[in-house]
Amino acid sequence: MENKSTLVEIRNLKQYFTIKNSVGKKGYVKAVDNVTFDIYKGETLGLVGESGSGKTTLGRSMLRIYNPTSGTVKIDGIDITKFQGKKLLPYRKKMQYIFQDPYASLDPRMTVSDIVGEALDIHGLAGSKSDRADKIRELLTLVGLNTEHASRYPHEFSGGQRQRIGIARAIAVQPDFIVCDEPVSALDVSIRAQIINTLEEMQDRLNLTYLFISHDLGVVRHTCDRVGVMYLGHIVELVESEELYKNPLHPYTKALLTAIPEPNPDTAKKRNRIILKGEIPSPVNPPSGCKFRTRCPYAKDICSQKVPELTDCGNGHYVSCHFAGKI
Amino acid sequence: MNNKLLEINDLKVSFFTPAGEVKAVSGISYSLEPGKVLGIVGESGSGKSVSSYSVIGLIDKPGKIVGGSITFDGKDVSKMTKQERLHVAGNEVAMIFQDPMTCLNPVFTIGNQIAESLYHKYGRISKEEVKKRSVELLSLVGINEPEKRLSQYPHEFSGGMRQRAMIAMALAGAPKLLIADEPTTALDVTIQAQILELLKDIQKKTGMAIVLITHDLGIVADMADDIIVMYGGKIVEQGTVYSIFKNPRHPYTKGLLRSLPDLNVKGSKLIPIKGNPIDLLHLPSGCAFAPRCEECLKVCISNMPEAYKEDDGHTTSCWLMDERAKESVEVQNNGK
Repeated sequence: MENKSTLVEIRNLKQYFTIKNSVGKKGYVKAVDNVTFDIYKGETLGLVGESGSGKTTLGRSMLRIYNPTSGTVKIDGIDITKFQGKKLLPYRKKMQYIFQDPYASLDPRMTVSDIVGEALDIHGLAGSKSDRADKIRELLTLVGLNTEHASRYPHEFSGGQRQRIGIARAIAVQPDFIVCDEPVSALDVSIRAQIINTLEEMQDRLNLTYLFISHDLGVVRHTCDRVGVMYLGHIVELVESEELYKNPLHPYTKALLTAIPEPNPDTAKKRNRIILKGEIPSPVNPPSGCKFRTRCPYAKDICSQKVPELTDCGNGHYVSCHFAGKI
Repeated sequence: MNNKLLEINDLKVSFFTPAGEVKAVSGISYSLEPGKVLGIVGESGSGKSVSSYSVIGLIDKPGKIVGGSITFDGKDVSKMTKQERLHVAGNEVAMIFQDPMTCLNPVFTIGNQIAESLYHKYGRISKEEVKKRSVELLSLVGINEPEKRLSQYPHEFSGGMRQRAMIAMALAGAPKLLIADEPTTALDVTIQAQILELLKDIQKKTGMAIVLITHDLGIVADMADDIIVMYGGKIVEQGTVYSIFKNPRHPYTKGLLRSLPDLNVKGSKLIPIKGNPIDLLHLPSGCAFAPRCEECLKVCISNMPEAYKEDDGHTTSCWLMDERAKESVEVQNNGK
């Protein structure tokens, strides 16, 4: 990708949630902790990690679904972290969200045309009633649904079709940037490829930029230009996807990659897996220093004392590990 | 001498709902030898879980086994009374489920729940014996500090630990067959890798057979000896893991394999299977996959294909395997 212009700029973003324990003592869940990265125009940036690593929270903080604790989110160079109400609305139009669960994210009492049309109404994009109906029909055809589906309710659709409705709703306001939060995880295997193709088609036609959140590294490899790996609220590795799969530098990424079940009996039965011990620690009480050190097979003393910085190891390969390139 | 551990013959299971009869499983046959791992692959609604639930009598109203036989270790399970079946289920066949939280009882400790399986198997045994065996089981499934863990409740366990605890409960009866229904679907990839390694390890140690139900082709490639692919309540293809992955015959299996993103090559466009999953209430009279099939023939729409068996045991239910298929008229791609 030549000529990279930045669309979304994230600097030191923190998203903490306050919790109280049984004796009323306050604590924080540091769901996203000091995250800095850029998303370039027209690219698909993948975000992978285990549940509890903060990928969804990061996506939501960026779109101001949550109010970030500190740090900035800039879109097209404008800091939107402090905007409220009317001032935020034009930026809401630029950024949309596709949810994981197509069963929970559509209002069962609204017809498809209401669901898609609501987005048009809020942003005043439809001039007249007939214009609104035309636009809805156009959107439905675009995502591969029939125009007669407009008057139906969500329960009349299969999972894949519902996800298409979700996509139509997101692209209705002509956004620049869409956060796709596990868009295919809830779908059957035979339907996944359909939805991924539709998303890619939309990207080509409408010049969209995606943040693609997923725990499925196979899908991420296929769809994403660059990939960020998250662990316990931090980005531990960020690099072009080709490079990530060929030459992972962070021990967590290495383990993640060998953990994927491969649909090929030859390689699956022979390869050496790195099996990580234990589970992801609680974000309420994260380990000191490097967050991954409790499960890392290479951890040394320095890892518990110093937090590794996300540094460029050359060619835009960002890793946060004290021993990057040495293991 | 018959050395099959499990033999299922023309099993039919239906659910009688207000909307009509849902034929969840319509006539499947397979067998499993001791110590083997059989992978059953299919999407939701393909009947992969229901077919295995029948083995230990977990089909409840409005569901009913309407035909066929299930022979486990020489005994016909489908004709047993509830009491008789109780001896088989838990002692000789154990099951683990997808979501370990809903399958563990939240008001009993893990120790209680393992003890229940032990009492079921061994009858009246002493408390010390129960404790000793429970600790052994928990260490076998890789849970640290087993003595302390026994007195904890399921909510104090994480997802991966709960799945381990459930495996421990299943192993308490020293079963000959373990049915694992999507055992790792609710878990993260790193935890999934741990649990799969654990299952392989235990299988090596105990020599039990495993029926592994999953939608993830990657998992069966790693674990299974033989594979069954199900679609619309029927087996569309079965064979050894190598022949299924190397020479898939059925268009559905081919489509599934093709639609997966390849980890080693960054492909251009994915080739999806067209159309939507079938509605079991309205099964077509011909092949269930015909409406989505790219190579659909005229005969596929009206007639059910037979199972064609090749020399290596690879069986495919598809008209394309018939010799007459070459002369038959191909219906233009009728998928949406």
